[in-house]
Amino acid sequence: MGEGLYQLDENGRLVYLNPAGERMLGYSLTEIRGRKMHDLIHSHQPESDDSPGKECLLQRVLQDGESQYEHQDYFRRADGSSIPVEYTSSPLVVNGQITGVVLSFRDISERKHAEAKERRARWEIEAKSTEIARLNAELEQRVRLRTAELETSNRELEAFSYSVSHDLRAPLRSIDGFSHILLEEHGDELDADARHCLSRVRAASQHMGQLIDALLQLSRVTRADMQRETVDLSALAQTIVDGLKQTAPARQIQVCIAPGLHASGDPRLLQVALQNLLGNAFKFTSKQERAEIQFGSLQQDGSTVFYVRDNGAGFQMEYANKLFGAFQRLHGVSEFEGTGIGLATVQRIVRRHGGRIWGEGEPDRGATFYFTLS
Amino acid sequence: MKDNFILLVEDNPDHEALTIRALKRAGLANPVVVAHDGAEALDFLGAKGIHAGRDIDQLPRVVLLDLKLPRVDGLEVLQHLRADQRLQRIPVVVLTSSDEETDLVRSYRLGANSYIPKPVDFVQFVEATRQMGLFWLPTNEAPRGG
Repeated sequence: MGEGLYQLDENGRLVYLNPAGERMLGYSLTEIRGRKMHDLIHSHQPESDDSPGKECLLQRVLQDGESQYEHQDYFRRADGSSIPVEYTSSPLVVNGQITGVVLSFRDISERKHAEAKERRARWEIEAKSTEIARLNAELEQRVRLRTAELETSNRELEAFSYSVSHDLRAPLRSIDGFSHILLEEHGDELDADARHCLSRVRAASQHMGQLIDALLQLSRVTRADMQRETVDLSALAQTIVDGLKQTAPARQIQVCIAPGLHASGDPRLLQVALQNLLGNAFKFTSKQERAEIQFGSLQQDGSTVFYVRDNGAGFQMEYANKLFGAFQRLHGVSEFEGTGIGLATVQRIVRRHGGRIWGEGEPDRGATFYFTLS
Repeated sequence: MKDNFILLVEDNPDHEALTIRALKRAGLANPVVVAHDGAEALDFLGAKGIHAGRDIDQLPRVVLLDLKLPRVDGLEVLQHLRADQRLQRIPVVVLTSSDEETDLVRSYRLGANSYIPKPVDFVQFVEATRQMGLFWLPTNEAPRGG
């Protein structure tokens, strides 16, 4: 739009109005030359504050001789409409006398429009932020409640499975005990087939006992409070291996434990994990003439990965995804005894430490189990 | 009955029978008195209730105490025994169904003398009973049982 400019004499009458000013005000200079501009375009404005308190800057300029700036006001156009303006009025001084005023003004409709838009946008953003904060708080509350529910439900499930496993032992003892007594004290009254049936009853009840023990251990692993301290894994593995060797002193076993292996974790849980992994290695190499078991570590993507490797029965990689399922076995009971819970237990322990576990194997060429603890 | 008997506190009749057989197998021929819950055990030891009229001075050589008992449970019986001056010195061997139960009893520090685990395998139980007998009933001269 440009800048409108007009000049007034010392009485406030129009001397000059520039073309831009003519356009903005809707008057031609010839129409209004000599008219008092204040009366024409400024006073009696419904929007402008014409109260006695607010003096027209024009007067001030004429009196004081100093430039004044008004950042927001309204001028009336020829057609009666108002335009929002900002203006600067400066005195014209000739020989020390104030002979008039020059006023430059600018239409600030766009600025006002932009300001209004910005205000509106800010209100909307505030309203939306408040809404988001409210929704967030609601969501967090819901998550808290749901987590508490899940935790309770989990605890109840664990308590239930624990007490069920525990109580299942009692009748199992009876089954084992009395079938044993039958065999021992009445064995000679029974034929070979009857004795055979009884020993199968005994074997089954003992297997069930092992399953219950494994389940109880798995449940304990989940429920136990985690302590974190530095654990010497090499020493732990050595102790476990020594214990395993004692159970079968006749076996030829070569064990290689890397020295100085340690990790931050719960010592009791890590013991259970290594007991399971090394115990498995020990068990599944039982058919090898010379068993080879290794426990070591390697670096992968910046973290430490531990591994237990053996040269035993191995497994088919196509079943690798079943390795860690509870009660899942990749070998028949007649090949190797077991509960199918050991690896599920190790996985739970590893996960509680924030790590992961995976296995690689080849039938009859052995298996390696890798795990991280963070 | 001399002061030579074993007080077995056990509510499960199967386990009662198995324990008595295990004792016999372990070569312990001491007479066995059975109380079927904690209240009965305390009645017996105090010669009251259903055992009123028995000679209160006759005390068992050792108490085999199961933990899970109806009415008055094993821990309470243990507490009573240790609190009563007259009964304090009787050895109590607790029969526990799991390591956790053992830990629990230990943590209460109620003064059990020893623990026999109750494994599913009867043969193991006989062996554990035998070890218990060797320690707490050493002067047993009974003939070897079946």
